[in-house]
Parts: sequence; structure tokens; C-alpha cells
Amino acid sequence: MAADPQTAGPKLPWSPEIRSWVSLLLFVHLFAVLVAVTTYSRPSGLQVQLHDLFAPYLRNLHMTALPASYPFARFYLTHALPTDVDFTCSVDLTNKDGSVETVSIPASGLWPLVRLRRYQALANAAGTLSEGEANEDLASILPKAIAGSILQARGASEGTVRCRAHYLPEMEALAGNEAAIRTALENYRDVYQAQVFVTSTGVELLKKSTTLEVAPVETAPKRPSPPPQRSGLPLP
Amino acid sequence: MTYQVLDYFKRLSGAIGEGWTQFWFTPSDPATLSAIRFFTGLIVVYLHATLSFDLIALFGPNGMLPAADMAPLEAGSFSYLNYVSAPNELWATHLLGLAILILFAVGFWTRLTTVLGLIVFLSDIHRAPMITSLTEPIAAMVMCYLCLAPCGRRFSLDHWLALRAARNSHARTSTNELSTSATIATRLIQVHLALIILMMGFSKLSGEPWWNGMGAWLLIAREDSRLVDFTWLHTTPKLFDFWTHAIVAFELAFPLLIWLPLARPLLLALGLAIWTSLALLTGEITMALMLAVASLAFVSPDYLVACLHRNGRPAESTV
Repeated sequence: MAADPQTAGPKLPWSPEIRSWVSLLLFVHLFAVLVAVTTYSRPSGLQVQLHDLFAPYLRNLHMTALPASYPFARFYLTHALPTDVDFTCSVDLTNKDGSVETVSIPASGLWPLVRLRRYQALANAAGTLSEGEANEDLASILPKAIAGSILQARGASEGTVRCRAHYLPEMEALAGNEAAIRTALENYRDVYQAQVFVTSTGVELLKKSTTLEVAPVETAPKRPSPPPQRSGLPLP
Repeated sequence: MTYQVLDYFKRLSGAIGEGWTQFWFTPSDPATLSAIRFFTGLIVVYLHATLSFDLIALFGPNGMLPAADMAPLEAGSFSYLNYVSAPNELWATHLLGLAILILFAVGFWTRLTTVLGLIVFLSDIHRAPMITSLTEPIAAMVMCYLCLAPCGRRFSLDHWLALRAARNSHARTSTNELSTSATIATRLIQVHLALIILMMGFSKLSGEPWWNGMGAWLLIAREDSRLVDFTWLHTTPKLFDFWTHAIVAFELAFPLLIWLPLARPLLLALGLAIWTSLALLTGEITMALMLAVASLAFVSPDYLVACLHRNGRPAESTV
């Protein structure tokens, strides 16, 4: 038989009624947290519905990582996807004096380190949203905001914004000669490019097509992708 | 037969009820929570203070992250920073927030500044989630639970002032009063941290590189993010295999084995090694620190106080 906790254990200061109410709150909260945690990767329809139920509570306490638009917290760190790389956002502009300037995010030499990480996160968010299947509206939010801010700060009226992915070197390539190593390390590709104009009504953006959008349409049925090789890194 | 089944469920519910009550409601010393408050406070002060460098460039007029444009990316979470953009207003709210977080860290009016500090920190996060990292979810979780407990009972200005007041009035005060809410907050941090680490492990397993040993290499090859360049280790791929498997194995083992008292010291020590290695791989120093601080929830308050009073001084401060 179970012993009565009141008599068997140490004396508890809270009355059974208070403990019952607190237990109920704990149960509901922990259930919400459990839903948040289990919906992080590959959630079922039921999990997504449950998550939506608790979403206002979880999001306002920053206790869920299920993205509304973009996975800001990537607890998996990498899945070798084309977006699991670092991006750079750069804006080419002509200053008032006619000089041409390129402003990059993140800028080098930022201190303290957490500032560099913030700007890197911003560039990664911009690159990831503009790469792949992200919808067009979300894709241009960050490039437009970043470029508009940089152009206005320098008094320029026009510029070009680029999001560039820095792909990873293959392990074997680093064992090659100096040229091969340099090629492996400098493996960049523009995933987004747009003309930006600052007008009296605000910032306008005219996107250029990228290589992603002119890729051949896949006609054959999709097959499971083969397991990556040791050097199976995201390639352009 | 029916009687035996009913009796089994009666015993089962009784045992679960007793275990639940002891787990959540046995009063404990808030010393551990006080230490967690101090270290978490230092980290969030650092995160908030370093925003000062880019406050106007990011959130000001013509800043890179105008509130109206960022709304589709923010999922409707509350942030008071969404309502200010003029430089003067931004600086005023930012400095006020910094003052609150410093008071939270040093433990002054702790019950109040913990709640206000949480609002400040969450507002920073929700204003611009695209510049946050893995540190913020863990720090926000810890701060949220600290709001429930008397986390200024030790290692705080409140404690020092209470001792001084008691000394002046020749009264007797004790700092080791046990608290049920301290137990609830500690348990919540423990359970939530275990779930987060389990999620880190499971989410890795849904990607190929964490099975085939490439995970660590894919992180170290990101030259814009990593803290240290370990690519010269490319000649020893088995090392990356081991590193990858060690991270996943630890993240799967921690949430299960941390509840065993005998395994706990070993897991906490291993945790320090794994979090440090993740910081080297990813450059996420504050995430590693925050994970280490949150792991303090598994350290017994008695042990913590004994460590701080090794010179034979009593664990409780009496005047």
C-alpha cells in the first residue's frame, strides 16, 4: 500500500489543496514544453495542432524552436543541407563622391565576438530565407532591409545586394596541392541578388534571377538520395 | 481478479502521487538557484550590453531591422522594443533594461528584478530573433523559472543588506531557510534542460552527418563561424567520427542518466567537456556557458554551500 506522503515523508509546508493546484499548473506547463520539444524535428499533424494550441504561451516565453518562418535556433547544428553553411550579405553602392564601395555583413574585426555572431546570424537568416523554397515575400525582407539601411546611411540612391553562400571544403581537397586547397576554401555562390533603390516613398527592390531559379526541372520521379560520401558536403 | 487489478492501480497511483509530491514539493535550500541567478545574470547582462554597439544601426530609424518590416519573421511575440524607434527612446529603454539586468545579476530587489529582467531579455529576443543564437532559448528558460523562487536568498545584495540590517538590530537571521518554490524552480530547470538536450540529440539524428561521422567536420569546416581552425586534423577522419558520435551519445545519455545520483558527477564533468568542444566547433561560447550554468541545477545546494565554506566555516550565516 502506498504510504501517505504527509506522514511518511518530511513535513511539507504547503497544504494538499495548494499542492493539487500547483501540480495541475505544472502538468499543463510540462505538457506544453513536451509538445514544443517533440515538434522540433519532423512533427506529426497531431503534434503541429497541439503546438498551435500552446504556441502563444510558448512563443512569448521563447520556449519553442518550431519556426514560424525560419529556424532561428538550430539545435541540430548541421544536417549538411545547402543552407547549413555561412552566408555573407554585401551591398555594392556608389557614394555621393562617385567612389564605389562594397559593404559586407558581417564586417570583419567586430568586437566583442558576440557582435560578429549576431551579424553572422543575420546574414545566415537572409541567405537561408532567400535560398531554396522560401516564399518570395519572406526571401526579400532581410536583403531589402539591410540594403536600404546601408544605402540611406551613406546617402546613396541605388545599389546591388547579394547574399552569398560559403560552401564547405571537402576533407580530401585539403590534402591536395595549394591551388586545390585554395579552390576548396573559396567555394562561394550567390544565392540572391537584387537591385535596390531608395526613393522618396521608401526602399524598392528588384530581384535578379539566380542559378537556383534557372535550374532544370526534374522530370524523373524522386528517389531517395544516396548516403553522402565522406566528402558529402553541400555543393552548389 | 478484479480486486487484484483495482489494487494494483490503487498502489500504482499512490506510488506515483507520493513520488510526484516528494519530487516537486520537498523544500530545499535556494543556494543553487542563487548561484544560477548570478551566472545567468552575468551572461544576459553581457548579451544586452553588447547590443549597445549596434542599437541604432539595428533598431533605429533607417536601421537594418525596422519593426514593421520584421513582423512576418517574429511570429507575433511581444517586445516593448517594437514600439520604440527614435534614438532617444531606444537609448532610454535600453539603459533602463541594462540597469534592471545588472540589479538582477547582483540580486537587488531580486523578486522584482527577476521578473522585470525576464521581460527585458525576452523583448530583446523577440525584437530581432534573426540575430539570436542557441544561447537565448536556454537563458530565457532559466530566467523564467527563476521568477518562481527566492533566488536572491544567497549570493546577492539582498542577502548582504539583510545580514547588515540584522547585525545593526542585533537580531538573528538565517540564510538556509528551506523553500518549496525553490524546489519547484530547480526541478523545472532540471526537467526542461534534460528535454532540451534530448531534443538536441534527437534533432541531430534526423540528419545524415550525425550518423556517418561527418557532423563535427561540417561544423569545423565553417570558417566564418568556428572558434578554432581544426581543419588541419583532416588527416585523421576517425577523430571527427569519434567527436561526432561522442556529442550525440552524450546528448542522448544525459537526459536519462542524470537522474542517477551516482552517474550525476560524471555526466556533469563530461558535459563541461562536450559543451566546451561545441563552443570550439561552432563558436557558440555563450551557449556553452549557459548550458554549464543551467546544469548547475543538478548540483545539490548542500554541496555548493559546503564548497564555498571549505575553511570550516558553517554553511549557514548567523548573526
